[in-house]
Amino acid sequence: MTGPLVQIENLTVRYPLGGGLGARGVLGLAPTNLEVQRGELLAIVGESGSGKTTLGRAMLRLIPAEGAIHFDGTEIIGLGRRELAQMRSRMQMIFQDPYSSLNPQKTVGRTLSEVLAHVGIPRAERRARAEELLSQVGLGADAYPRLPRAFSGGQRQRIAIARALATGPDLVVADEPVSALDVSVQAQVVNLLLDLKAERGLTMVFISHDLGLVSAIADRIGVMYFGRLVEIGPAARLSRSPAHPYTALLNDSMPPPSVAAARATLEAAAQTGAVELPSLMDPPRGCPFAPRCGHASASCRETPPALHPHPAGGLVACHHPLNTD
Amino acid sequence: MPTTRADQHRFRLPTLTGALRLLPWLVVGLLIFAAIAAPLIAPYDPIKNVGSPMLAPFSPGHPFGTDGFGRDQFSRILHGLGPMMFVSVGAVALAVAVGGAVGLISGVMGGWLDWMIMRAVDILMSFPLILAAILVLVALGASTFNLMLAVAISQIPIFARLTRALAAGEVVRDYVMAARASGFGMLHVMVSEVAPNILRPLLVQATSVVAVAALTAAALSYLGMGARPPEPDLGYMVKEGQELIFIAPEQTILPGLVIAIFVLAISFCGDQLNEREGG
Amino acid sequence: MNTSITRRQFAALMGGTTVASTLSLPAFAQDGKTLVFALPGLVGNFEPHTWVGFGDTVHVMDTVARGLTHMDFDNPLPQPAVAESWTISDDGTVYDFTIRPGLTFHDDTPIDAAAVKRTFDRMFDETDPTRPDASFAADNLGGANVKGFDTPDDMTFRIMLNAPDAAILGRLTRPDMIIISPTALEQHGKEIGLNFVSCGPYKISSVTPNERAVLEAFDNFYGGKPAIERVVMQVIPEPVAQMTSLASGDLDVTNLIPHSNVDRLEAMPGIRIEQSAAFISLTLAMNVEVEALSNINVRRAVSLAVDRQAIIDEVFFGKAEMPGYITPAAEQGYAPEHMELSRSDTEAARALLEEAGAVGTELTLISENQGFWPRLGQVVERSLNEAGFVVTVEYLDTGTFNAQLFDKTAHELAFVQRSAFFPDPDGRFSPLYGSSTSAAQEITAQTSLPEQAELDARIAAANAESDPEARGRLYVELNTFMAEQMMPVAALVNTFLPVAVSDDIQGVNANALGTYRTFLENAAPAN
Repeated sequence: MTGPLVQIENLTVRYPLGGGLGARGVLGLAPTNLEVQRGELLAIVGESGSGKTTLGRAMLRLIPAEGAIHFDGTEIIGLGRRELAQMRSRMQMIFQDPYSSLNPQKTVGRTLSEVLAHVGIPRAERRARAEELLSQVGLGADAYPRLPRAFSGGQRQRIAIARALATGPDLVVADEPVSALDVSVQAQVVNLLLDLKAERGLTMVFISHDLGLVSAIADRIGVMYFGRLVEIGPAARLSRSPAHPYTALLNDSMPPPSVAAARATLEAAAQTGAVELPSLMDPPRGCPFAPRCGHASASCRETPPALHPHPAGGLVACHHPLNTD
Repeated sequence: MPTTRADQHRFRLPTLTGALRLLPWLVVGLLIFAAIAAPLIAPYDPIKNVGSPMLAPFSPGHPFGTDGFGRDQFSRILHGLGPMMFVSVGAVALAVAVGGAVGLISGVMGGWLDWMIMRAVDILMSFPLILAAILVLVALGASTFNLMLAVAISQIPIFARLTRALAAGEVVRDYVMAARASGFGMLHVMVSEVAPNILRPLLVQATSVVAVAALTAAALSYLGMGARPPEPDLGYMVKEGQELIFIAPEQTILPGLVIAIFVLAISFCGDQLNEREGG
Repeated sequence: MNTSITRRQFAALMGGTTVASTLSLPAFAQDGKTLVFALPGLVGNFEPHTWVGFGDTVHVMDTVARGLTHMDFDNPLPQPAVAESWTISDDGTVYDFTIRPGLTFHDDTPIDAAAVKRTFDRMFDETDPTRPDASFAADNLGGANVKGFDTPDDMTFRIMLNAPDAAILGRLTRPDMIIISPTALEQHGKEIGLNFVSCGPYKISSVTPNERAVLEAFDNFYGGKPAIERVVMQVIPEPVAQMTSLASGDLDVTNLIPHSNVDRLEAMPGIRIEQSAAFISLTLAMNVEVEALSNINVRRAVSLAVDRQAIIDEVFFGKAEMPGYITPAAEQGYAPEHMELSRSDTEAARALLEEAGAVGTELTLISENQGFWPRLGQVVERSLNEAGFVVTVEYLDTGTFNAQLFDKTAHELAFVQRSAFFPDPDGRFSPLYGSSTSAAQEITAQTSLPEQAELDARIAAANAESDPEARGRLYVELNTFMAEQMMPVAALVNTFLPVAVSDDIQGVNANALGTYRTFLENAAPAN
């Protein structure tokens, strides 16, 4: 089949405010349109709270969302429980924190074989398949009977990757898969993901706050700010000539090649910017980035910009895009 | 760990140190042994009058004397231990099972189901525990088994609350999201993912509640809603002996003391488990 | 045991267990003018024609109200009260009561025949707007046998009956037969119980529900103003709290202490136990419609199996008597040979059971779950099982017990207690064993026995006999007939409420208190 693997239309997430029945919600993800092409590595970048994790989870229907998600031609928001369960094996997620994404009470073997059982692997084959998966992520068969607490963070993330691969997925959403790891092992895990993607022909959505890292590995990059996709386009174009002032800000704060330094800068920016970040409870009328933007005009504060094609490729949501010539 | 009503009603016990920490475990162990071995070690039938005088004083033949019917008090107390433990431990086990299931569903499913269950639990908890138990016993009739059932029902809301809080804390963790991403249903999430991770704190709390259950059961027996006389029941023995307090105070004090020792020892054990759990 | 412990020390010893109940007592006692009496409970409603509770309906009522006649429990015959004398027509159906002149109610309303008639009309006239919903007074006076009332003159009140009823003078001594002030009735209507005015030795001064009623001596009482100025009826439901209050001197008179403690209290200085006659009879009722109990020999075996000496020793700590059959020794109608009717003999019981092929018969006995009942249940269960029955006792709260007791499909064996509000021999028979009563229909179901018709006839004949001696003989025969021919109940023991009195007080009517009646007008400070 041709066409994008995932096509998202007006995907919207509202988080309930407080508890109880009939509670009002705040917008966690503004209506978003997005396509993920087969075999591509799409990176989603943004500060914490930008909605990138929400987008990732909503895309896999792990949290309640409105809109439409066409996965390989099948709309999954409207699917019933049973049909959805069948689709699940084709799309998997890798979480940021390998310390909480593995059930502490279950051995590695049990975690993997439960998943294998769920996708219909016969009992007799499960152990061999699990050990094969472990070896594919660089772990020995001796990992099988052990509990997650016996492993380091990097090893745990390898286990989590093995679990995600166990269902034989077409799409993997990796949500900051290395940011909780020690700097020394980050590159190994990223390389493992890239190798597996290549070997298995996976489509991957790689969520990160680190524009420097993703511009080195991604085919396309989407930038999110305040629950909105503000720019999306080829990785090379975004890092070379960003169209959105926010992308430019992320680019400027990236002194290559140090990943750690980039993260520190970004976090510092997020810290100082915190006072200016718009409130989710009381969203601004116009462009949410306007208060932080050096190019902001009166119209920016009044009218929210929509995504428009950029002459250099991709889309940008800005009234005064950069690098238009 | 979230506080339950049982916590609020409990005095803070002093912390035992050193070898003393073993003492409550020894006491509980000894009482359990005595309860199990009662038919072998009790010198007399706890129900039959052995031809001894009524209210006989302590003697080698009757270490705790005889009661108002000439029955050996030592044998009656030994035989009363089993029912006390059956009622308190059984009630808590049942309350953990039922309250735990309800709380698990509530905490994992969330949403309106959670809201409805928790409002129902709120309503149940607004009844005094003892009143809830009395209502159950009035409806079912007095017996040791029904007493266990009544105490269990009165404890169910506590465990539903506690389990719900623990489950809600687990369900937001990524391994639960990962299980759902793998395509597992809610039943698997509850039973296989969340339950094993909240079992330990739940059991630690349950140990403490055994003491509360034992006291509730004793109070209900005291009100005549427990075992059917002449079956030995420590709470009922306290009541039976009470009118004799001027002439034979040991009749009410001894069984009362045994209840107090059991409750206190269990509470100390519960506290030690709590410390280890970091609660 | 050492008995030289003083009352104060004793109270101090016991203080820890009963602080709450004793602290609420104001310092009424020991001023020589006040008598403190213990109540089991107090609703604060003294409506005489419906049952409120022992505290309201008996203890307070007996102290603040009086009827045409009075039973002092020393003399077996009813004595004049509001009526100073009476005449009975030759056929025994018309009673003319002469009202004592010069009497008033507590509100100064004069007492005359019209005032008396107003009270009695209220019992029978169902359209009377002042009548309480569940009025049972009419039945207690004689029900359908009462033809009507009249006032031949200002000071004569007449009761007309359909058939002679020798017990009527006794019935008039019941607490629900007292005379109510017509002025107060007019003013308060259905609320008379909350604003009660009668003509007893004490008048109500203040009432605090669930706490106490304070009563003041009445100047114009027909027996003269009582010697003690004030009676405080204090709610002290717990026996242990009563004993503590008694020991500390905060309580002067009580009839609620457990039998087990009588000897201990008697040994304490400053307290005495007044011996009263055993008017309270305890029986084991047998539902004759239960298959196992339909055979009279099995019922006889039950009676023989009961270990009455064990009941006296272990349940009442010696404070009870061996019974005759239905009538206790303190009343007319008793004869010593009745004791043979309630013999205890395990071997004979077993022999009867074997003969009837009923060894191992399973029976359920219902009992109340408080007071001395559980102790009684255990002894009866034990002794019946020794004779070859397999008895299970169910201990029930009072409400459940009463519901099952008055439903013949809901019990097999049941305990029944009967005290004497007035000791008339008929009171032992017609209210419990006459075929028109719910007791005979539901508790024993004996109305299905062929001998019931003769029993009814014998009860009617005995009650129609107005010569006291001949009447007594008829009741003696009635006891024997019912035991030998029917045996619907097994007599257990007769007992009394132990009456504990402070040495500061004398003249308390112990016989009355021993059977739930409360007459304190002759009480006076000691020495």
